[in-house]
Amino acid sequence: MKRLVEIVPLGIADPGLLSALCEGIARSLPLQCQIGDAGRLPAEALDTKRGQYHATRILAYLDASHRNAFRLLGVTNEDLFTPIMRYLFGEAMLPGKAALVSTYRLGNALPQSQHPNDYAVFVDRVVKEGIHELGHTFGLTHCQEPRCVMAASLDMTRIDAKSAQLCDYCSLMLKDGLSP
Amino acid sequence: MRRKTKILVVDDEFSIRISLGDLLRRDGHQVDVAENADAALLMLKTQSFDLLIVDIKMPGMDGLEMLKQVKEDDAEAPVVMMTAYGSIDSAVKAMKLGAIDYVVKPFDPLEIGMLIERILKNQIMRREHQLLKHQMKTCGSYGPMIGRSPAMLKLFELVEDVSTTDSVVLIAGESGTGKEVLARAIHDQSARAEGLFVGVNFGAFTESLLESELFGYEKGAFTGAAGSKQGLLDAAGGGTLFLDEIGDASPKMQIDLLRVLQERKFRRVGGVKDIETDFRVLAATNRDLEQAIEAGAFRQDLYYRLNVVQIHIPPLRERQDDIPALAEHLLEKLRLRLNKKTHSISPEAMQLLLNHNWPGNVRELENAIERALVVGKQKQVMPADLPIALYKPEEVPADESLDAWEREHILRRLKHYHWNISQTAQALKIDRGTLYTKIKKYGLSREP
Repeated sequence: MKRLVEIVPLGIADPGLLSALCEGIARSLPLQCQIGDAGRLPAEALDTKRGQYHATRILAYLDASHRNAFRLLGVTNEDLFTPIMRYLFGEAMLPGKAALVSTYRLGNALPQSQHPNDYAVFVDRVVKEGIHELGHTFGLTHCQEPRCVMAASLDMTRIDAKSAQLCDYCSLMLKDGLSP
Repeated sequence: MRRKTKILVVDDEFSIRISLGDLLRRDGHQVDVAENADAALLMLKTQSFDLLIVDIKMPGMDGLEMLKQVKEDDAEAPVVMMTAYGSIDSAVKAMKLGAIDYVVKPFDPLEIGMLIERILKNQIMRREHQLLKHQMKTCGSYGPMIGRSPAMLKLFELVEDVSTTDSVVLIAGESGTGKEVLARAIHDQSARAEGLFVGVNFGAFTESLLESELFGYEKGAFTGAAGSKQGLLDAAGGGTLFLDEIGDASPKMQIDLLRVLQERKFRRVGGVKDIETDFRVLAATNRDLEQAIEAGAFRQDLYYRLNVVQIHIPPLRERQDDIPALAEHLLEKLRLRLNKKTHSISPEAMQLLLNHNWPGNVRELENAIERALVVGKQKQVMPADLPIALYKPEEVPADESLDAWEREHILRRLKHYHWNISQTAQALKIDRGTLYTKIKKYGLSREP
């Protein structure tokens, strides 16, 4: 099977962001990437009480609706949760096929034209979180090396402090995860 | 990379168990879940965990009652309680009962991430502290060598005599008897204890590598020697040089060593200057050096230089009386290192340890205990936890059909797991339904 990551825009319409994400993935991981057709967030994932989307349900939907895909990365600007977490920046099957990233808390309200630097930081975070969640789909767990993209994304400071690259150890583990 | 920590999540809500389990697995932890306090307490009877995360409000036995019972069994058990927003009173009660902390559901990613990190770091520190305490307790005047058999008491007496001198000592004994441990004990009690204990294994390196490691080298001595390097003989100055597996030294190395022992001087590889040195020499071998001399493989003059005082460590099979104390010591040491709850050895397992002839000596015993701790599920080491060389499973059934074998194997595993269907099915790598079908098929039943 072709090692292709398909980005599935879920109600997000920012071609620049999606292209940057796709390029970042192809740069950091030994995978090809393409932006696929836009999808929709499944209605059953919305928790009206919390006003948030259930991340695990979105993953299940992505997985079921793209049976032949190698890897999928859903991108949404909605706020995500799981029953135990107040919010999430992303979620992924560990291991599995589907990953998900939310721009909601990564600073997506920043207007591109007025604050180009802020926008660059925002794009950088989305790219790192997308790569991080895809890493989980290959069985990678959180890394203790703060510069590694697999370091836990506990807050913005830690996300900004890490690089978009895997450390040597995680690269090796990914290679193992990719081997047939 | 860190050791995989084991966490037990106890919550009656399925979605919480799943989402918290996923969250912790992403951090690289090994996670087990229980849907109520009774199931969790049952798991705690046979397994140990680095951390328990327990919901306070559960039907049946609640989290506080479970916490009380956990603490009665193990006062040090690390438990974090989960509580819903607005139930802080219960959380305070939990802290009074000995919980490490509490966390309000749903969690904030930063808060839970830092909390678990802090607790696990403290756990590691606590275990290291216990290990150090155990080492201090067992490191008597002869280091961590354990033994009350007449042979060992005689050996300890000899060690005491040689420790106060600067004589060369040749330690003889089979592989795994603890020759290096004894050498360190002699060094630690000697006047050179402040200096370094420098060990070099003649069986582990090629001659050229050993030469440059032992003697050091000068800049340009060989391709790649960009600068000069101090050798182990330099490093051992003021301390002890331990020549391990000396029987494996090459003929050239034997000549070089003889010169060092005679003149107490050496030259670095590629050097022209003699370097004077001052260290005590301890050597060890598992070979019969006198036989090696006869065969022309070992120099007689070097043997006389090394064999000033000889200490022979008896093999474990010749000091069977020491096995129980040694096994208990190793269990305690490894239990702390591996963070296992197994605290003793069952009489049946001890009998197997006593029956074995231990060709690999103390090292083999240590490996056997470590294996038992890794595979064992109970608080006592059981016969089935020991390596196959010690524990020979029950006799082959007379009926050699595949069904008879399967029946025997399933029955043995069921007994091992006290007829816990989930655990047995997991061990057999089949689902519970299949196991039930097979129990029915073979008419297996629990003995009264």
